[in-house]
Amino acid sequence: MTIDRREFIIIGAAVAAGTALSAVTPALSHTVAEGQSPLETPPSAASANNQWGMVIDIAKCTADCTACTDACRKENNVPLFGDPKRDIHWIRKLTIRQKGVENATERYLPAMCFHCEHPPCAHVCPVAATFRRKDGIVLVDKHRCIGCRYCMVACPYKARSFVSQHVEAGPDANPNAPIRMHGVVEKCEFCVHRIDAGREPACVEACRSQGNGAMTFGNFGDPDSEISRIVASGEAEQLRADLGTNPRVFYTHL
Amino acid sequence: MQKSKGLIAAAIFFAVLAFPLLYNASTIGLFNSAAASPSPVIAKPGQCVAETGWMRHNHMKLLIHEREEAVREGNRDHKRSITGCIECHPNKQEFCDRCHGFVGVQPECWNCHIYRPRTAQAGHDH
Repeated sequence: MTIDRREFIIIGAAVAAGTALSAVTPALSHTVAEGQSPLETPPSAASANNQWGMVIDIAKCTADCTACTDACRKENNVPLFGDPKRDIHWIRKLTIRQKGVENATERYLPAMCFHCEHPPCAHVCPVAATFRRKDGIVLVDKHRCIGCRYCMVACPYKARSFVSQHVEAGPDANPNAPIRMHGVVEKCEFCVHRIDAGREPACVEACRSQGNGAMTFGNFGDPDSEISRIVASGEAEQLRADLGTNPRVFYTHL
Repeated sequence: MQKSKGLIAAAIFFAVLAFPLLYNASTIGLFNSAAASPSPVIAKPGQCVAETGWMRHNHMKLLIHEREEAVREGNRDHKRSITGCIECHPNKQEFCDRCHGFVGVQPECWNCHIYRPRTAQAGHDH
């Protein structure tokens, strides 16, 4: 039996092609005629007629109440790592007092993402993970976030946190909201899953039922809504309005 | 003598070359016809949100499409969302993992989403 080099290569190639074909054929035979694709694109449910926002009455917010922050952690499965440098906060309660005044009265100010009309975080995001929805809610698409943290630098309100370690879903985690993966940036979403279901953010609900009713959530797109009327009356202030971000969270009695 | 030596060398060469392929094929049971196709357990038989054959090949496209719709546009169709899957397929090990393990892909869906049925009236995640 003699095989020259030419024959050897031809036989080798034939065997290789046969193996490859036999592996591919079953996969091909499964292919289904696509027909009409079920991937529909309905009109956006987030309507530009709604511009969600909030007014917080600082005079009603007290030192010992943590209803809003607790409700937020529970609703959105926001973890505490036990390290103040790394903890994730969607809503923080700040203590403010007047500078240079002795025995100045302290005020307590819940601060979350202000869902700015001109969000600097969305502007700097290199992968368009942070964006502003049509109804004014600024969101992080955590599927797309690469964790570069430009947005954390850009946000003047320290609203954003970086997920610096692995998080597990505990047995009492809320299955209606996701947990998170190590390496993304996240922040308050105004409980967007609840808004889309026609409900208020968890902090506002908790403030009313367990707290002192300092928070009012509503629609700036409707000139007759309660928050629109409060802001129109001129009593409400934004934090660092000079930055031109036009936050959608206002404070009264600041 | 010289020729048969060459043939033996070629056989050894191809055996080494094919070893990883054959090894993988045997690990996933490609040579054992009973184990050759993974059988995910469909806990609730019947029609899925799209035709079964289409879903089998394109569920990932559907999920990514619904994800973009939900996150970016607020169009949350509970039945077609990733947490909507759980209602008919309550066991991840017997549903997702059967095929994904077989083909060796590791989607990251459940690193963030929680494989538990939604509670009533609450709205749902992306």
